[in-house]
Amino acid sequence: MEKQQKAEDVKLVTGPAALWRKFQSRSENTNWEKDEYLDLLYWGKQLWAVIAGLLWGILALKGIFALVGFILTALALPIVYTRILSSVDPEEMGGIAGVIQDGFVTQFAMFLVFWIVSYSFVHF
Amino acid sequence: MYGGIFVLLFSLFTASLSEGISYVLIYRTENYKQKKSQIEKLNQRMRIVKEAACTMEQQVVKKKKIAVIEQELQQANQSMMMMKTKSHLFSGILVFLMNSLVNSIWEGAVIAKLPFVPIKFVRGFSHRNILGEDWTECGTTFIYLLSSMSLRVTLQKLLGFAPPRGQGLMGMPSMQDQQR
Repeated sequence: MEKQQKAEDVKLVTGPAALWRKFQSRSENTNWEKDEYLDLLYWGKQLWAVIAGLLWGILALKGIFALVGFILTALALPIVYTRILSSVDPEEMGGIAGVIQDGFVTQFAMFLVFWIVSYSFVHF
Repeated sequence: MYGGIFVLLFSLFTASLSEGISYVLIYRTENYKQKKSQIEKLNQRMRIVKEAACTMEQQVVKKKKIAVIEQELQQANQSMMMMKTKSHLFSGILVFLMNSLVNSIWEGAVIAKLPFVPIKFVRGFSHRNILGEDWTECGTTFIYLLSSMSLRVTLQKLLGFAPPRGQGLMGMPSMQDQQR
């Protein structure tokens, strides 16, 4: 009961800046709550979408292969980070499907808009 | 072509304005803050109860506990949705007006070139009001739609106004949470 109360009182780290600070100062003992971890991945995904969109646009990567290329990286990055690079238990974070799914639509839309806008701006 | 950048910035402005209105009408109220914290606590309690190991006899009690929390969560989510309806209405009108304004400025103009040929379904948005059959030519609607989808949600999350996880459509628990 006491443990349950304690767990309920855990103050979650929110906001990209605070999450980044926690990420930077992480160690093997750092405890990630599910929402914190998914938020951390959310911001990482959005950042990658913006960088990849600009990169794809400036380098004039076109067509279905460029699109599929981004989707593959967008799927692979959270899986690789969760499974290999971080010490969290994927099941505690909602499973691999949950980790991929959270924020994916926003990430994809973000990538498309930056890809299209930068491609049009630089090459036309 | 710089039209895409203009629409992107315009969408960012609209999203900021819309969130500003939502803040004034809802997010700063005590009632909203209480409900949000209640939902977060209920979600956390639900996770703890679901994760707790128990014997066969305790399973029945556990199921009952889960059912009670689920009911409380559903009520809290629905009440939050009701609160948000007013702001959604204002935001919807604002987005519609701004979209009309953007369309009237760039009507029929090609503002971006797509680096891919969109599928038939997407062409309805991307090639809207544009003559010809070069499907890579893109009008304002598609860029505005994509910007709204990505920037508004991200802005909400940045400002801490995003709905808590586990809140699905119309305040019901999400499919993912129901399966667990």
